[in-house]
Amino acid sequence: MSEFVFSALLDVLQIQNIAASAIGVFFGLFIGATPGLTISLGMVLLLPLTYALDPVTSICLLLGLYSSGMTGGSFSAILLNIPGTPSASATAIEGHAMAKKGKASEALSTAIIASFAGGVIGLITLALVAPYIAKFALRFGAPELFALVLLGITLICSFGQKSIIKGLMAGVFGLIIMTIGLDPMTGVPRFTFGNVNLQAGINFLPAMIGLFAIPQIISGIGTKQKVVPEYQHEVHGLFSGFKYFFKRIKAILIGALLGTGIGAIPGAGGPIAVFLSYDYAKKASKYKDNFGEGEPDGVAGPEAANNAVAGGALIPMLTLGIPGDPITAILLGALMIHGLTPGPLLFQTEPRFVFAIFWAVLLANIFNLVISMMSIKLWVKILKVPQRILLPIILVMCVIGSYSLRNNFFDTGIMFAFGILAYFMKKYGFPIVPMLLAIILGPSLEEHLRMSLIISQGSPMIFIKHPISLVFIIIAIVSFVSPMIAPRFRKKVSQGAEGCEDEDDK
Amino acid sequence: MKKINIVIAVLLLLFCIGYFFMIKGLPDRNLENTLKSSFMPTLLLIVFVGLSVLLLIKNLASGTTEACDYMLTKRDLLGLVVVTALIIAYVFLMNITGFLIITPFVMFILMKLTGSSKIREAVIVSISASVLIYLLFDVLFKVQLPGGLVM
Repeated sequence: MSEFVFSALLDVLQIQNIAASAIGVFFGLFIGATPGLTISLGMVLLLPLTYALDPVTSICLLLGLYSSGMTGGSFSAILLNIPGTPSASATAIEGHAMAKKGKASEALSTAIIASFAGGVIGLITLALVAPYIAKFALRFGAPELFALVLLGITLICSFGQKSIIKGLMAGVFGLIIMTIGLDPMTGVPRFTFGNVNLQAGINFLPAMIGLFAIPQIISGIGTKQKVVPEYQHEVHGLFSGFKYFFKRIKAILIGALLGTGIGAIPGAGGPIAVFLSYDYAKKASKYKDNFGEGEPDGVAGPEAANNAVAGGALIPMLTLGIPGDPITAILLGALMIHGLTPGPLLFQTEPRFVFAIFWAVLLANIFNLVISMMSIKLWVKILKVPQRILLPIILVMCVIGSYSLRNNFFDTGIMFAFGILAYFMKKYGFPIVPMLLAIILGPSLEEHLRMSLIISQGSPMIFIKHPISLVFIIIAIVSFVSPMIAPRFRKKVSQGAEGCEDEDDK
Repeated sequence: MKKINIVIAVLLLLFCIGYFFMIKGLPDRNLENTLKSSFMPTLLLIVFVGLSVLLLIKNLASGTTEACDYMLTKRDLLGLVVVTALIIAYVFLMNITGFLIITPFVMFILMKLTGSSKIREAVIVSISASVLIYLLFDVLFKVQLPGGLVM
């Protein structure tokens, strides 16, 4: 496999791929820096543009956006105390405090350099670990693959959700939607109502565009436009931040390792990683007392974490076909457009493309560092682009993006229907990410389930008899049950402790 | 929120009843060594019914009432109506006029609805953004956009 390393590098270094990476980074910085726009939204808007592109060019474009979106979120967090992305929330604490003291340049350069370092460490972990996981996963048969997909969906449904029941309902509803179309095994049309457009099933791309973009447009029209404050001080001397790099190395390493580890757990996500790394960076820092008043370690740790999450999230996505977060779910969709199915077989059938992904991540991080440093004064102005200009552009891109998949307005209808559904789901506390994941992984789940039951002649014991499958199913059950019983368990323990104190007091 | 959750659970149970009849109506193709096409939908229906009942019981049994901030305000309804009407009109008219003619109008209307008071700004942004999107999709990425009956 190592023979493909250099040929993959040559693929990525072609002029169109370098340009795509740079464009992706630029767009990602804009998306990340603009409060109200999310990286997921940026990815779904770029997705239709990748239909006509080469797979390597597409991945360079999207990974560029992914890497820089996280960094862009820190700009508005530091300058305006408004995180551009949820993963920049921890950066805002120390970063804005530094900016208020006139140290915005130091905060921004710390964020940019830490993001680069975190991204590279995440990539190194990905490149070292992924081939071994993929090799192990080659042993998986239909029962293991079914249990793995079930685990991935269950983790996303239950991890970090306010209501696990609603999370699971969203996931199951997504699976129900994916049964629309011709049954892949028997050819029977299911729930097509005689509509020829539905025979191919619901395409997840227009659904994705609708799920992420339409609720935002509806809310944007519905809410009163907030006036974005302007950063009043000068921003200059960013390159001076390099001299502080070695002072921040501890915080950066803590953030990067935490970010990679947490990013690799499906459903865990950036916000958990950044706040944990803020906490640990504070504990490990020599300047603990400065935290809360503008301590650069409090910027370096979270920023390293949020970019390392990208590398971590790519591990389960590439090796097992299980996205670690909504953004890698969209990346998964992007690869599937080009006929590439992430999973262990990808390392066997397309090793050159896999290495191209690794090189694309490195290129994106390098561009992120350079372009961020050179263009920061531009972003200070762009932070003020109003919603009244952005929303119409987003709406048009959504309509055209969904239309251009099959040159068919039926897909635009699908996009709109999912958008309205997502709006109401968000309104009434149902998360949309489990549904998105179920839509993407649903066909695979059904295929492996039915194959397993055919092999076992209808006996569900096959999932118990295969040890790997059994382990995955146990973890899935625990992930579903434990958030429900843990609070009650904690309550009982604390009541028991109080009882003991009472006993001692007598 | 408790009341809304109960209503949602009941509505979803009604959906499950409708889904049950839809599953019953699936044609039965008996192929050797293959599970029926209704197998997965039936399994999902059972799980969904169970979750809906859980949601209903949890909210009926719960003693606390949360502050409800899930009501649809006038602004929410405005957003819904505007987006629905615009998308339907945009798609319908694009089939007739083509992308380049109708898009600036749609963008102009949406900009006015989202608070743009400057007509010149709205006109310039609508036209230039439409042309840029056209160049990006149709010329650069060769993704064909609707030409309509006019073009």
